Amino acid sequence: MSHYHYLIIGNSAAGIGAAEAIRETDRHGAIGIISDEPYHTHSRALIAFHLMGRLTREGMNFRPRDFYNRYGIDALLGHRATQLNPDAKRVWLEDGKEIGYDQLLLATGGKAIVPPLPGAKLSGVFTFQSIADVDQVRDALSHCRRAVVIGGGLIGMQAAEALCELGREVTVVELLPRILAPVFDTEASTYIAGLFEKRGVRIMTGTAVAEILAQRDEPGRAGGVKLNTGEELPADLVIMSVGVAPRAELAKSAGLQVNRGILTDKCGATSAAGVYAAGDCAEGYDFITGQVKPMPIWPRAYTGGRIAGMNMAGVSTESRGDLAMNASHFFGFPAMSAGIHDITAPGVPAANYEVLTDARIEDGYYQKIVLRDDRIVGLVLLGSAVDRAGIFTGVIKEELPVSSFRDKLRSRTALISLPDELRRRRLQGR
Amino acid sequence: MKRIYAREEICMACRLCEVHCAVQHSQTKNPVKAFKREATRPVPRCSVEVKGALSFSFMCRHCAEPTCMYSCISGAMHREPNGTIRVDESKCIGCWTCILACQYGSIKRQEQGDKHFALKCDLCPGLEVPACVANCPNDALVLTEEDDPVMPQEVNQAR
Repeated sequence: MSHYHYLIIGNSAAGIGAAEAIRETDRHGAIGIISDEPYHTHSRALIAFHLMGRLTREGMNFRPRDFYNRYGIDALLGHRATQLNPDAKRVWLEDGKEIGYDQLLLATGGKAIVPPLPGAKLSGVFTFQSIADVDQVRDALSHCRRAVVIGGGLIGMQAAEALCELGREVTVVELLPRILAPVFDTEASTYIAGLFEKRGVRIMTGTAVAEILAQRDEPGRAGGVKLNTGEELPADLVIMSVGVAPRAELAKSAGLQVNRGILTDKCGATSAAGVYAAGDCAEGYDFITGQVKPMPIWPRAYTGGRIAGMNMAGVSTESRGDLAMNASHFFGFPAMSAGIHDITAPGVPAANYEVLTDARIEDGYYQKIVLRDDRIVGLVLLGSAVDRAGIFTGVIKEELPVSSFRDKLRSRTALISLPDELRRRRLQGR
Repeated sequence: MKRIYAREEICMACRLCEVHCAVQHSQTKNPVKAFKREATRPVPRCSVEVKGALSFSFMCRHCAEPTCMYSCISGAMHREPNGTIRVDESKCIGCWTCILACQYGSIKRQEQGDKHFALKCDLCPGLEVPACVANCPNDALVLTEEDDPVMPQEVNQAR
């Protein structure tokens, strides 16, 4: 039986964040990384670029080729971990191989949700989450003229953009009244929807897909979708992008505390001794809303992995919680949000909110700042308003009252607009 | 880690730091050619901020815990062996997550046609003293490994 001092299941942001943190403290302890994907560590967030041909598979690599070697990591790639016994401190792989550990990190990520739609198993129907998905979509493109994307969230809109850039006729079907509702407010969503429509992408909001239809002459292959309105849209390719759920089945079957995702403390420790969890498989603490929930965000995954890794290596470190944030680009147009982007959204705690906006939306400029009790708790930024956005997220994390400088918050973001004490601190690098 | 500190009490906002930074990072490293002949106008990685008599030049702090690097989705943002935080511009895809993550606002967007990438201070590799520091006419920029040398003692001690 092989044995690792540190065993990491997952080869993406959280797993790599943990491995790098461990090596800062412990140069020699044996590290093993298990992944069911056979690829070098890469960024899932870049698959749309890969599909468009703007990045090669190599170009998606998250770390240089010699990474595992340089960090003294055994990369066990293409092996699925199927069983965990936290009392015996052992993990079993699909092929029956048994691996012992002293400290374990579950960084198993998320999986694309497949809605229980009739026809979801037809060929030509894909999720859009992994290199394997991109390979299949690319193969299907040769006989695809029209595509339907079910779900207008971030992943769906990235898929729609890629397919549009590849010259396909694309329709996005979104259940909610607007696209990108989990990350943008109505104004931003509307503007971004316009960017797609200008390029010929059809966006149908407030609409559900009732069924994926088979082709008449080829009953195993998708030929279109039927909407809840009864309307039928022909399509030779269907992308299902209705959301991502934490991959927590290994933790659950081992008896760990799991809600939607794996539950951890501030150190990333799960309910089982010696087992940590980080990234999309684990729930996060949103310090703005006070909610504990899945937060599938790349920076949170890396940082959560880093914190878990430090604790695994004996350096006691706590997370203060996470800030929901998102930086996107649609056809090269930049858009960002952080914290509470829409005070009317479900799940936003009742409080005294104030919204400051500076918008020339027709020029693609939009800056919205959400205040609660005189503190910044949310942002939406479009176009050149994204420049220096981190100054705002920094102020959010400071939980600083803004009444003394709120008139300077609008328009160009700058350190010089901050109160003297904070500006001096920033200039010093703190 | 070495970093550049601004002395806001003597900066006069001449913006020569911006000019020299842009030229140093241009193709030709020649001021006239860089601004007049190169396909893309060179962009400085430092920014002078001005409000009334107050001004300073600001650039990357090369943090010990770099949130930009921890947020980078492509792996372009990395730490060099000497501690400098740098962008591999060929690897950067311009998602701008680093811009949202950096509390100093010290990362800029560069867009050359379809190629979008992040720009930031790299402390001028190959130069003993970065171009902005070397060319500041009244020493308002200081390169040092120490804590900020211009701050009152009690502030440094309070850290």
